[in-house]
Amino acid sequence: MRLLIETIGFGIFSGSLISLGAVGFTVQFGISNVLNVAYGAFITLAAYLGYIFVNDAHFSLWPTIAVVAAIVGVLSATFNRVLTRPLARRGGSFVAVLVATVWSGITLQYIIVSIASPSTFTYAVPNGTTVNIGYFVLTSTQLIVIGGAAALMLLFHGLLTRTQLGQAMRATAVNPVVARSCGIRIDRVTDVAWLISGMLCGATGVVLAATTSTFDASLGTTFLIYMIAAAVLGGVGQPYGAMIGGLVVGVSTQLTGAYLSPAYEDVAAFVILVLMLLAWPRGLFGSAASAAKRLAG
Amino acid sequence: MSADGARAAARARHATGTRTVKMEQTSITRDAEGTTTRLTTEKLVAGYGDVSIVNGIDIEVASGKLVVVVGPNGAGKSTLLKAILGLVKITGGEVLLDGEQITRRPLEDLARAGVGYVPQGDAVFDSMRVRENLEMGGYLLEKRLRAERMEAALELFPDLRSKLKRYVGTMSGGERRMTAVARAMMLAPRVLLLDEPTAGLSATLTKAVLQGQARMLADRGTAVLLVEQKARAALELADWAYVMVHGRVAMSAPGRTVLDDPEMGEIFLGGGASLLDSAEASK
Amino acid sequence: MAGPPSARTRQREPRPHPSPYVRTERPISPFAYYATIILVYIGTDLIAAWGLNLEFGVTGIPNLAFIVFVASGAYTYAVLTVGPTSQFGGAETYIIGGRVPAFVAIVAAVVVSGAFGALIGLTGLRRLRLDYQALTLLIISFVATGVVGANNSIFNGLDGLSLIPNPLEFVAESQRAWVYVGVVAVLCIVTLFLVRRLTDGPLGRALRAVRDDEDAATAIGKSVLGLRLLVQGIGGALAGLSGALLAGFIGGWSPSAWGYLETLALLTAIIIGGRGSNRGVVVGTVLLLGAFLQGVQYLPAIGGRPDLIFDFGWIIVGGLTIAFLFMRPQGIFPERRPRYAVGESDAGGGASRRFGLLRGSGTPNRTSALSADARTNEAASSGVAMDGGRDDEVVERDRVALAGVVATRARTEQAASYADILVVEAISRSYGGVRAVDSASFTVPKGSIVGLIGPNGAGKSTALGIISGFIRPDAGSVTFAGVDVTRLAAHRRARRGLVRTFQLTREFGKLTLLENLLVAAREHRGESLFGALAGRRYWGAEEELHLERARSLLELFGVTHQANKLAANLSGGQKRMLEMMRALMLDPQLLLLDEPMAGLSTAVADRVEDACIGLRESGVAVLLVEHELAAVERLCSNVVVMAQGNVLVEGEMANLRRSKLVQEAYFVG
Repeated sequence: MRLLIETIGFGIFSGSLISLGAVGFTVQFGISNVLNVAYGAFITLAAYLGYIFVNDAHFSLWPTIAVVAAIVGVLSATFNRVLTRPLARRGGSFVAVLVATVWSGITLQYIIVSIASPSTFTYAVPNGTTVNIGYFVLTSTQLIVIGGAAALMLLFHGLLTRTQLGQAMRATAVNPVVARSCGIRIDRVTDVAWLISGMLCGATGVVLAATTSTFDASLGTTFLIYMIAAAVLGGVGQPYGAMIGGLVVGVSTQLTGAYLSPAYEDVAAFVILVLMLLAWPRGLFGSAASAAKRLAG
Repeated sequence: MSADGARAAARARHATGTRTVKMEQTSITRDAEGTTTRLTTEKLVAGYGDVSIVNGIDIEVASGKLVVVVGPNGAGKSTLLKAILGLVKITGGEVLLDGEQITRRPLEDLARAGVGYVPQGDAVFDSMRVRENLEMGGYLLEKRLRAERMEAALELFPDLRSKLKRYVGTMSGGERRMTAVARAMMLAPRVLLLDEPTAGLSATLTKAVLQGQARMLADRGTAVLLVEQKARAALELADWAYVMVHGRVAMSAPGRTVLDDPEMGEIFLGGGASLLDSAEASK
Repeated sequence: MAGPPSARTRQREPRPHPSPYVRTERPISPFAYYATIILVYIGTDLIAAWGLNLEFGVTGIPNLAFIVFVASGAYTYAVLTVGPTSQFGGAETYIIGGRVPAFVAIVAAVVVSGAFGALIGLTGLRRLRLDYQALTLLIISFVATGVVGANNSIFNGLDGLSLIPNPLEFVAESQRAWVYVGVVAVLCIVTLFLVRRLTDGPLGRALRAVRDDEDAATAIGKSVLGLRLLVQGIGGALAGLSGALLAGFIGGWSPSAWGYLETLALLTAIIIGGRGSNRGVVVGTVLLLGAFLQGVQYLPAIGGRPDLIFDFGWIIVGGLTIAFLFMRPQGIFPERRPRYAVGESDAGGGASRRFGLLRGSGTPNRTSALSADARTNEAASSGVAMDGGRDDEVVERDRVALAGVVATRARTEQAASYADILVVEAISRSYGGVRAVDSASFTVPKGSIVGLIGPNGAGKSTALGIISGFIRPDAGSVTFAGVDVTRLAAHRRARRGLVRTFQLTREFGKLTLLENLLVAAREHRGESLFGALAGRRYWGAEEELHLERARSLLELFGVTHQANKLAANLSGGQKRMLEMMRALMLDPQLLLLDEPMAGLSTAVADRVEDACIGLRESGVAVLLVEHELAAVERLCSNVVVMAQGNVLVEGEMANLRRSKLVQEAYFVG
């Protein structure tokens, strides 16, 4: 019983991070209809940039998150403008765009490795004191992460529902033609959407690296599977689905790790992903119409 | 006020490219205004790839008038609307709004210029509520004006008032239509383009939509250009009608005239040829 | 988990020290050592690349998990040939330990990987959009390496299997490496031979049709599932061969040798070299994998970091891939389609042998408001030459010619017992509560032309979809030629003679016009696996027959001079004619035409009309969905009017035109 609660607790922590990343990934799909596999490499980039700020420049964690998020945000928006959008507009097939994002991710990863060296790294941040809440056993850092992720999700929700921009983003994702007839400049809105999702990506990368004991250039690649599983579970393109999906994936993979073997955590995420795609592609929040549009091709 | 003066005033008022459209009036129809807006096309040619579907069309719609474009399938009616809105490649001719060139102008700029559009089929934000749909319609407006416009829209379509919180995807076809048109009216368009608004609706609902949305708005001053497959219902209410066949205007006359024309059945059931020939001859 | 990407320690020793895994008593020269390694790697990569090209370049299956099949071959070979305890007293654990002769083990590797490849093809993945398929396969590859790497009980986990016997153990050490190169070279040639047989002939055409448009391929009678399984099986088999050869050469195999990056490297080689082109694949593989990824390993280290060269290699490969996808997606050597001789009417002349614009007698022609000049221009742009007019004799000759080309089956079936070639009984279909088709019933008598008309949303397209097998009805039955086909798969209906065209033309864009017709040939020996392998000698004669038919059709429709043009580059009207001709190649008994005249110029539409009349006179029945009601009146003996999902009324067009009921339906909609 104790193990169960502890595991669930850790699962909530891990799931919070997955949610944060998955929301960014799903927003990019929702607004541009692109499975951006380079997202994982951007997570890695964020981790390494954060390392430079924390370890070399001796920033504390919070400003680092902010700065790195901004950098990755801008890079993501640029990535869409320079690569994925033009390629899709030129008549690139879905597979061509996917392969382009995959290779972009690989290239970015190798650029990082060539500059940083292949060894593993650790953030110079304290682990935080352990806190016991009932049977939950978490470090203070992890609790802050859960809280922070929740706060960010709330902020994002506020953005989507209460701001002009957020509503424009939703409109563009749901029906670009009608959005245009409302006067929305969908290209600009798309740029901002990639900026924001890139910022989420950046924040996730830094926090992920800070809360892992060691990491190397494969950090983002592995984590990508969890984020995609979460996004698909929640319904691709649905931010709220990604939030819930992240928690579900986090808890279930931790449970798998605790009761079967830690090596099977990735497999659990993968199984969730494949089962969803084969049996329930629509996902939790996806509408029949959007799923049909996106999956039957 | 001279025509030029009116045009200048209109242009000054509807400055394009500005995010917040400052329009003094809160009413979303044109009752209060004295000026007339005119949307015309001149020898418009448009199509997909190397195929021209619209083959030299001259039409005109003015404030307070309901103008209807009817014709058999494949005639190019929807393509005509899309061409006016810059959604389809234009290879010849012009589109003018009050004398100003708007050929090929992007849709989002046309919205700022006062051209409203309700596309065929999927014309609403399904996963959003009615209120949010209306708010999206008023995206360009500043908050106060948007609230006032929404009130005005609900006065035009009181049925929506009780449904503001509902998700549009869960509503019936007629209600979704209504939401779509209300959304378009939020920007108080000078010209409203409707593409087959009654597609998939029953006969009674069709009448209700055409009367309660298209005709009513025209009566209140908006210039309404309506493309319809269900010719009879539309022609009964139209001030003017264009019959399109094979990408050309085969007949251009008041709605009633077209409706009563004994050859109308011919046009729709295959015999457009003679009408086309006489249209050609009379040019 | 799979190690960091920079530690790409696929067992290719980059530094000159003798490896314990390559046993040499008399060391060969360093040059020979490197040369043989590179050559063997290029050779095995070629075999794998041709396999992946077959799957992706030719058939359009984005198999990003390809390396997993290479690994299955390697592991199968290893597991079969190594004994339960190693020669050197190591305590490596395996699932099986046998000492099977190397040759048998290689064959087993090929078979196992082939079966595995086909198995993956059976999963529901194929219903997903292509990029989802690709992504899922990529993740499968990633996870597979991880799972094996984490489990010592599976093929010894991360450490992998070692001391794998070299299949050429019986050859002297000093010559073994070069003999291995020779063996691999021979196998490459065999593979190329095999792959060319599969991709160059009729089977290759069918595969490309599946790639270009799966639904259209189904509509011309191809079993898309069957073809995909075949291709994935062969691709898997080639992967397995590649893997077995590698494992035998290196003597070891572990997860670091089969990371997902390997598939991506092969994919890039194919993209850069030329997708779908076997020659292009050679260029891509030799350049990219050979010179680049392999060759760089032998360069000196930079700044004391031996892996930096690796990293740069991948960075440049990544950049190249993206550049090619942007600027030259077809690759250095694009796929080239064969050009066929098409006879003397090449230039578009030969006015006598063509369906004309005006009929000598009979019902009035469709007139047009277009001026004569415009008509000429339109006709010219559709590739149809203008005739001044022609006489009945010519019209009749054309109709006889058409009958000779098609309708062999219809003629022999004419004596059959049934009166109606098609009986549609109470079919219904709803989409989310909306009844698209509501208990509709009608028949098409043998050898007649029946029209199906009605306003938009009346359910005509859905009805056609149900009849042709693309849409499953909620209720009702479809009987064709006396047989209940309600449960029969769409491609089988096409093969039986129930052929449809599509409203929005669905041509096979990357095949030529002529090939679009050839691929629709109903039976072609060259399309079976055996036939393809047997080569041109086996199917050449039949190909000639189909070519003759195709040429005749091209002439009849006046598009002979476009024969060798890629279908994607044809004009709208020509594409429409392609749809019709392709349907005719199938020797149909019943032709379902979905708005064949939409958007056509008068000249071209007349051609289509004449073809319909010719077909009827040959005994082929037609169900014509059309809005061009004048044509419907001229052609159809009976017209079915649908509205709101059910059949409103039936009768002759002239009567229907006067019917208030019908007018209301169209007016009110």
